[in-house]
Amino acid sequence: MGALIKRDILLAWRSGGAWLLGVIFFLLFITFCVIAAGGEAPQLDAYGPAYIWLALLFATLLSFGAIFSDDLNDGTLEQLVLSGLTSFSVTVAKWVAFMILTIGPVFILLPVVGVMLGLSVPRISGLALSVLFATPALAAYGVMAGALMAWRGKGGFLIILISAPFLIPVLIFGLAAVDSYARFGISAYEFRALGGLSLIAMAIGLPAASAALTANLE
Amino acid sequence: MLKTSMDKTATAQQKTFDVTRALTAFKLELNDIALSRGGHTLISGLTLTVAPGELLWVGGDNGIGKSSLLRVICGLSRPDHGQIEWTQNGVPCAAHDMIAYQGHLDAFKPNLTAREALSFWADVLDKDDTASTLLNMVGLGERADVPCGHLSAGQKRRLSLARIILSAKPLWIMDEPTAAMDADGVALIHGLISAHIARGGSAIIASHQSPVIAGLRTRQLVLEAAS
Repeated sequence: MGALIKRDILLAWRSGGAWLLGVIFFLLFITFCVIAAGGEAPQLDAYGPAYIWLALLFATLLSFGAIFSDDLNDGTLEQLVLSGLTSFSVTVAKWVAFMILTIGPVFILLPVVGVMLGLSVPRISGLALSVLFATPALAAYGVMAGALMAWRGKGGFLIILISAPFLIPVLIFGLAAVDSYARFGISAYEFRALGGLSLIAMAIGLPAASAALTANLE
Repeated sequence: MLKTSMDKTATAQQKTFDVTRALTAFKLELNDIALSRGGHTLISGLTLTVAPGELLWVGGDNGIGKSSLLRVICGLSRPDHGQIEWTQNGVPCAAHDMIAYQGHLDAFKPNLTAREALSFWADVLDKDDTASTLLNMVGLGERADVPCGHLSAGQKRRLSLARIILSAKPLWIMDEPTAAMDADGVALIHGLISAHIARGGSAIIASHQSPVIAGLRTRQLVLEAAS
């Protein structure tokens, strides 16, 4: 499992920047939102967190399809299974790698983007924390969608359909958490809700992804 | 001169590598297997047992179901009908406990070097990292630090041979092992298979032509279209 995570990080590093597609999309999306909103400070302060959350969701949605497809198409998945690795281990490895490689860079850029949008420090902190609490959920639904779609070729559009309903509660509580953080800090109930959503996502998404791999490889 | 001395070290290493491995007794049993592809029946009523020390050649025309059969034997797809049993030391086991598979897909990432690829698989297979020894064994010693994407088709086949040896599994399932291989490569494969079988391992090979390996008796399973 650790070997697979290490390899995915090494491959991302060698991919010539292809792994940064999600981050670049994230930055572009926010730039376009700012331009579309007219770039005025009061509006940006009100809607900034929403833009950032939307950008994060779209950036991760964009990366779902690639989670398993490369390893499926070049035969790595079947060799992994024949190496005695369970499909659950493969799923968990991919889940960890997704958090590190796709959501990690976005998370690191959050404060920078927050400052650019003129958000106050409590709102930036709240935003970072809400993303942190939601990351396991985003990645778990990501591997689930990725595993379900890997055998269906160019099914990117369907991935969005599968994942969207699961992502809506994460988005709702993620945004609510940003506002509540300013008043109640980390003890705001939205953070507990996000944590709960992440646990549910892990309980549903990881076994579902693992079952999809098993069903397709046996 | 340099080349000869390198060859010598390679064989010396090969010996130490082989001695450290003990192959377990195993049995593969197929009972009344039927399989189809796209609603078209390929094989039906196939009953077969493979024991240690056997070489089984699966022959037949294109599209007759050789690869599909190998995948079923590896547990990578399910037959429509019938049972497969994998047994090791008399105890039922999973396919991955006893099978090393070389399919059409190489499972090597173009951005990793040959050495990195083998080290990764050693890590996954929970084996000691013997990448350099293995690369010398399959004649890729000088290409160890070349990215897999820059290896030729035959060199990638050699690299996947190295993974098979690394896995130390008793039953080798090889789909067209000599495809894209030069004469040296074919000799290498035949040598490795003979050594493997001499140690009590077995191999199932699918190809168009029956492999002629000196000193080895080959069982044949020729698939034919139902008339």
